[in-house]
Amino acid sequence: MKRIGIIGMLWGLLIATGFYPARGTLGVLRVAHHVSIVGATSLMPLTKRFVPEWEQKHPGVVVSIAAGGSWAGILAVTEGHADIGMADLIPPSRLAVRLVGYPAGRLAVAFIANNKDGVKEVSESQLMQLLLGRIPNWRSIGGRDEPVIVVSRPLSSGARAMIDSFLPPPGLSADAIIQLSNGAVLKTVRDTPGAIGYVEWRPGMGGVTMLGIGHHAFDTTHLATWPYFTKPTFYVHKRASDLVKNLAQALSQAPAKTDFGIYRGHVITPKGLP
Amino acid sequence: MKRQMGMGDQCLYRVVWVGAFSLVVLGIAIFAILFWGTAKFVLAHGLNQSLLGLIYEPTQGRFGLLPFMAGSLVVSGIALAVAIPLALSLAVTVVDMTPRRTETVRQILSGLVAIPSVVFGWWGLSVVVPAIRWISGHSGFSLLAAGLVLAVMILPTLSLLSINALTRVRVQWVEGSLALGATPDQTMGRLILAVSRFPLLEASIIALGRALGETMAVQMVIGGRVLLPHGLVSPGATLTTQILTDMSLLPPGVSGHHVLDFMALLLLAAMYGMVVLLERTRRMSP
Amino acid sequence: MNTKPAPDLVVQNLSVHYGEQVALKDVTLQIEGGQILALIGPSGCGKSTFLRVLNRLVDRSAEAHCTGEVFLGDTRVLDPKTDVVALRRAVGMVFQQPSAFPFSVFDNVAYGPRLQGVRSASRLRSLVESSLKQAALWDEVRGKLRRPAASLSGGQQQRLCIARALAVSPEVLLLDEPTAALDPLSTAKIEELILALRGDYTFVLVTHNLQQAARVSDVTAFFRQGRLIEIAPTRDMFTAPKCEETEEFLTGRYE
Ligand SMILES: Nc1ncnc2c1ncn2[C@@H]1O[C@H](COP(=O)(O)OP(=O)(O)O)[C@@H](O)[C@H]1O
Ligand SMILES: [Mg+2]
Repeated sequence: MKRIGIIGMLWGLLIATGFYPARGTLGVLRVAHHVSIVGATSLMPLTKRFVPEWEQKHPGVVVSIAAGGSWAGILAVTEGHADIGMADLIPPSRLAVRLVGYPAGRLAVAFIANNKDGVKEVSESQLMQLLLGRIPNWRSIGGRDEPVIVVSRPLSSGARAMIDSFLPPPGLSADAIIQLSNGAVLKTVRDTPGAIGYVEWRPGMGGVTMLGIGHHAFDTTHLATWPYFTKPTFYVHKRASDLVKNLAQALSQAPAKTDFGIYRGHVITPKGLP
Repeated sequence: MKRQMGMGDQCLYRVVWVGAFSLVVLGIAIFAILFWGTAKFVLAHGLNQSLLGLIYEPTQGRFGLLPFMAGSLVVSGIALAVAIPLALSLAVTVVDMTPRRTETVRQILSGLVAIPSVVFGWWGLSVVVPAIRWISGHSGFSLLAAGLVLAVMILPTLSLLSINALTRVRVQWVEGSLALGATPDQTMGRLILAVSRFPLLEASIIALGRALGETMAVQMVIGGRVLLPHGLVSPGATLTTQILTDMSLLPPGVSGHHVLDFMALLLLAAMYGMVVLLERTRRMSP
Repeated sequence: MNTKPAPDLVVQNLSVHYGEQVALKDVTLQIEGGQILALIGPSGCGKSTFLRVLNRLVDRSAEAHCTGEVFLGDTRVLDPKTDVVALRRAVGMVFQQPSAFPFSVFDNVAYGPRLQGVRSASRLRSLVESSLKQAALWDEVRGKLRRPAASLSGGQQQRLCIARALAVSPEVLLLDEPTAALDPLSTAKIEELILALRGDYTFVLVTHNLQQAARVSDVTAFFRQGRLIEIAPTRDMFTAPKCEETEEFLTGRYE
């Protein structure tokens, strides 16, 4: 009979986990110091590279990392489901007042076209017309006779938010092909003649035409002047512990960030810092 | 000879019972949560902007789900239409083989069943999408691509189930047919296929369930366009791929989050419908 | 009923191997058309194999290999050029295990005629009716022709299989222990049926039931380990067997 009790308890526990609010960890098993990070896929590689190093310097602290997109990251932190939210979009002010942000710098948003499109640069208005889906064929802007195919990230992505912020209504072409990650967009544009898309650039990306926009050429050695970018930021709750804030700050200043395409624009002091 | 259940048996019995019971509880809980979310969503947004809507703009408060339902139906339909004839011809070929060869084919198919779906997605991205692009002149990301990838994906399962269905036909029946002067083809058509029509239908329903539920492989090749698809080579989305795409856009707490519950509930309802259908065919089969 | 005369069966030096294993060895026998030949012998002695040679169902075993000559009337059964489909139409078979198809009673009997392209509903009906009558099943299933065959009793199913075989107008009937799974009453009915059909068809009946062989058959053959030990008119065989082995078997001293 004792064994039955134990089995019953185990099952109870298992079922309870199913209903326990998602906090990245099980309540009963919560260790003394656990920090959870959720958010943008564009910051995942950096975070994954940096965290083990930080954990070594802070014995007893366990860090969990989960993807989910910028939006999910910001919401998880405001709701208290996670400690640090990675995001490359600017939170709306009603949420921003509860957050402290540690900006890491800039991620260039590169506009990429398939090599067979035959266009190397477009004006800013041409770019907008392309993304709006109003230029049906590359021929009309001096390229090859290929139908234009817009490739985009979903609404939850920070890069998409940046694009939507400068496009007039009705926004990005409804005919756009949606790919879930930066890498998938790159591959799709590279393999699909006629495709145009955008990616958060990082070293090693190639096989596509990096479009120049207006008088700006996309020059990876002079990204500081490139006008299209997102601001990847580590957000924590205002009332977060010092330990969490320390980690967010360390992440935002991790030396490895240049390896992932994050570069320094002008310095922004995080609002609400003590 | 009569004996009380041993201590070990009793223990095992209870473990099984507790397991089964908690599964039921879990199932009911999932259903209840989805139903609750759906009810909240429908109360807040009405049905015109959701189930019956054509326009999906979650950030503008429009949640038309018809494009995704159409996508799910068309994609699964293509998958079945392509996979069933192939699986059936494979099964018909295999049944006439020696038992040892049949076993080999079974083993190969079981191996294929174990391939994770991303692999099929990747294959679709590198082969199917370019092929459709080349033939149609469109981007290649399309319902057709998704349907074909799914067809290949469910083919091993469907073939295995079909082979099992056909080989379960009793030897006496087959020999009885041959002894009446039926050719092997006549025996296949009039006896074996006729006798196994319900198991074959069952196999198709199981395959349809898998096709309807598949997410990752489909997402990789379908194009993710949220408008009602206007043709087979047009990009589109299914209920599952749209849940995947918008899970991070609409986390709990955001207005419209419960549309995900609604989509999940639709899928669950479809699956449940299929289980009911399955039970019916089981009861009808001899 | 059957217009064609029942053919003679002539077997000369028939041997069958399954791979290395010998199932029948050098069997030679002969019976006249319309007679009932009973095969008796211990399990595994090759009785079923013998039947399966006669309608070439033995071909289904890939490793089976037959030598010798078998004639059914003018047909050289083992000749590779022989049309197996035509042969099997002429040679009906009923198995030990119930082999009624999982269809309705009607569709079971109509299966054979339909194979031969009979489409007309009235022609099928009359064929089904006459076959069922011949098989002494009509009175029991009239009005229930659309019921599944599985709803019949074991004995009725066995007679249904006989009706199914009769519907393609065979000349020979092979019965492989047709009553092994039946109760005495059903067994008696089948035996009656065989006796009623005697003369119209050449019968080969495998049976474990020695009394059955004695009651029904004209000629009895005793097999042992693939060899034909003795063949004789049934009455002689059961009263005065020539071989000691046969006597031992008939008196139940082994097996
Ligand atoms: N398909 C087969 N493959 C290999 N051996 C077989 C096959 N069928 C029968 N045999 C063997 O041939 C011998 C004769 O079998 P069978 O004709 O079925 O005997 P019976 O009907 O008298 O019991 C047995 O030893 C049996 O094991
Ligand atoms: Mg036998």
